[in-house]
Amino acid sequence: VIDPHWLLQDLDPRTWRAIGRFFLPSQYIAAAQPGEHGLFVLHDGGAPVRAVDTTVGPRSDLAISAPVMDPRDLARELFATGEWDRVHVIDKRHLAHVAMESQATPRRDLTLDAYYHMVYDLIWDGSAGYVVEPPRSPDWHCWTYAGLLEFIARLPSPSALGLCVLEEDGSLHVGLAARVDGGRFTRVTTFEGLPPLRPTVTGSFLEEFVAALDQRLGPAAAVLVCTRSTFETWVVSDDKRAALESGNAVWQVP
Amino acid sequence: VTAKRVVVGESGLLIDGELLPVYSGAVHYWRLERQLWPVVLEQVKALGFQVVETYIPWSVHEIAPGQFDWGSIDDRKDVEAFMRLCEERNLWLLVRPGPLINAELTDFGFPEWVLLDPDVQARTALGSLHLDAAWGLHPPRPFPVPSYASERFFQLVGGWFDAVCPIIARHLAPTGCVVAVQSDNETCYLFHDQPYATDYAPDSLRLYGEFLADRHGSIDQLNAAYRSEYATFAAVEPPRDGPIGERTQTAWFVDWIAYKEHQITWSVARLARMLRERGLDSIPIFHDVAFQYTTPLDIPRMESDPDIDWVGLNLYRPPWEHRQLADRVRFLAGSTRLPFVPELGAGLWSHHPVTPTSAEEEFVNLSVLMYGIKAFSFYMLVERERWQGSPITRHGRLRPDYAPFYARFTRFLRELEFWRFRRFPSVLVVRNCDLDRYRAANSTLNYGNVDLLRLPAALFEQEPDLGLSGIAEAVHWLDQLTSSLGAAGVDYDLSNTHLPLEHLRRYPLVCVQSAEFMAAEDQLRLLEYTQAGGRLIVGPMAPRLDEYLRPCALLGGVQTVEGPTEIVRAVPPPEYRADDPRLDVVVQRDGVRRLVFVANPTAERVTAHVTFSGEQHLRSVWGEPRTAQGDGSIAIELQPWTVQVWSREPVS
Repeated sequence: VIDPHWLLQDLDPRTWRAIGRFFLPSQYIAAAQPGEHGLFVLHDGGAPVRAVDTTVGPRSDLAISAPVMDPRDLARELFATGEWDRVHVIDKRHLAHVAMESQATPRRDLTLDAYYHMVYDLIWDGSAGYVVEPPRSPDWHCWTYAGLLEFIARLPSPSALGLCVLEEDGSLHVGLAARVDGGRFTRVTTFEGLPPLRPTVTGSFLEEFVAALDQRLGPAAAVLVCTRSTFETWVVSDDKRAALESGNAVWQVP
Repeated sequence: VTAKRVVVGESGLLIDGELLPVYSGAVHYWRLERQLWPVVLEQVKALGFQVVETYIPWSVHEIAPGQFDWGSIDDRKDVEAFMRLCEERNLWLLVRPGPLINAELTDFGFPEWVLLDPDVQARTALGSLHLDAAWGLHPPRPFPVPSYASERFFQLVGGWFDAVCPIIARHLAPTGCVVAVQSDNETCYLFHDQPYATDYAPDSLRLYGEFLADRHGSIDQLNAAYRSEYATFAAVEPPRDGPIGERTQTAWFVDWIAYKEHQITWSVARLARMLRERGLDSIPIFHDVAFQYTTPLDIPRMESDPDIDWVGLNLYRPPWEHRQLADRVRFLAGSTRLPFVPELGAGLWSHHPVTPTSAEEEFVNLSVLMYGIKAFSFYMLVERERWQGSPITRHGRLRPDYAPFYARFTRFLRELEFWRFRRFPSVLVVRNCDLDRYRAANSTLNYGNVDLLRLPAALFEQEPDLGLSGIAEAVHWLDQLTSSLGAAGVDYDLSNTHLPLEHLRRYPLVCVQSAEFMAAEDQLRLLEYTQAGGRLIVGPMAPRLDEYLRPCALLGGVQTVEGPTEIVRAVPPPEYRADDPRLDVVVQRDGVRRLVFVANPTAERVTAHVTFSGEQHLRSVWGEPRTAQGDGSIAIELQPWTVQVWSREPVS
């Protein structure tokens, strides 16, 4: 969905600081979660290489029997001891295979997000190459890449998207706008790139925001205006629509 | 050879002998509206800058093979007009014509046809291509990384340099504005700096063979070191994964690590020669290292290369990485002629997760000065697409939240004549290159995309039992030594065991990290330092082997210590120190003038005393004007993540 020549300009530093946490691709791909006490067992086609505990470091005391015949059994057994929040059993050869396949050609046909999604599919291919107990969630707070693609595909071309998040005192937390052409983000900006706005979580501001998007970026297709607490709930909620309906938000969707 | 009109001095560049302090900031002409260039440059001057810096990107100007746009199609590409505008405003210019740019450009500023030429492309240890996006987030799309040993690559770069160098050459100082040129940019395998990630392309393996020939002299000597039976150097296959399996394989592994360092320095030097051959021979050629200061980057050795005049290290550090920042600045101060940050973060790239606030920038930039930086270029002084948080917007407006700091900062430097001040640390702490190489050789999982998995660092490090002692202890020793010096308020510099003798001799005391092994030439140089009157301490043990683990105990007679306490006792007590170990104090001197920097690198407010001898009167020269007078100490209070700067005044 990222155009190879996308234009990101007039970026308000406050908005950018607020959304920066979403830019780490590992959070959408890795099984390990922040703050987890994990055990990582690395083997090479069954031959144990190293076990590392995220709290105490290398663990040579675990008596992992060689060869690792069934990585799933091993992960389950280790997890059953109750010592770790999550146990990872990883075959080096699987990681080598992922690296080899993902770099087999220049991949000029792929946008960056599509490239990362390909890597994701290679890592989590259902094999015993990377086994996690308990298993990783197949989505990120109920957001999925397929869902994103479906949403983008529904947008007319060109179209504009807008997000306005206000602090509880009414000051701006996030003021973001984007243009999509043919299913790709071609321009991203902040309120600095729009006509002056006086945001509030109201229907009248939603209209003002839509008009500003129409004027500068293209026909507004999807716009969300909400408070910061509603935004934070919406990001992690299982029921996105209910999070907005029960929060302080106004929005427009295609 | 043209006589040099601009040379690198200890406090800045010397233009026909006249000092130019390098206080610079980046402006990307091709990303700004042409009619706004004069406005933007006036704002740069209004913030107090005399020097600007710009890339000149290959892909922006060579729009098709052999077809260049220097402004005839897109007026924003008229780089010569930009240079003339700088000259009209008495602004000096640092230029960076690549070939690698990054600058958040699509394909990092390489033309697509260059990247897609199979003879240009680097290869991983697995034999695949090597995509930039396989390590680190580099939007907006992946590209195959070039091999910096590829002859085809250098041939294509030559074509680009043929086109760009004559333009730069017409504007060299002192008659023109260009005072220095950069050879390539952050050269280091496009961030794939792991030992076995790359570069196994055919030309790289040829260069590896040449490197081995140069290192060993004859194939018989190599075979003796490797206990092998190779017929030629070209027949030597490099290792493709760690760890070192057996003790006898050590030479083979560490040679590959050394080659990885060599390829970087060799390619930067070759590109520098190509620039000189095209008329850029009367000004310094510099290089910027991205962030690494250990293998595969070897800053002292790179700056010792006759083709590279000056090496700096880029810094984009948030306040909470103060220790890493201080270490890097101390390393530059201990290892280079003119400690330089070619890219000092002013704002950040658009895919970075934490945009700095102005207060955070103030803390970081004062810290950079505190530990010894004498030259810097803010990146970016003027915003452009894919960048945010600079003091000047792309429309030429000053950002009210950010710009005032920069105006204060340049005024501070000017009013104090900061370039006259220097630190005088009595201790140099030296990292052991062979230990760093050994540890690198024992890494694994150097595969693309593993950075996406949040694996613990210890999973990448192997600890083979080769019967060597002191490795973990030596790592701990260095850490403990720098912590102890810091806690005792002792100022020190950092470097590595490749530092030339003339640099070592600037310090009365040199403390060298060592396990059982160290290269014979490094042992010899350290011995020469002691013979020239220097005091050398090696810890936690003296080497008795060379880097190939052959007997070599040239330093057998020097003092060794196990713990750092004795070293701290051996250095003179600091002139100023804080009675709270959370604070850091560094003094800079200019004759009788003193600047006392006090940093609070914590998230807590700290109240403490700065102690000294006798009655002293101090005046705050940064921030709110204040004075303090005391006999033996003054009380201070520092907010979280702040630096205070005090000047010693005559006692009233």
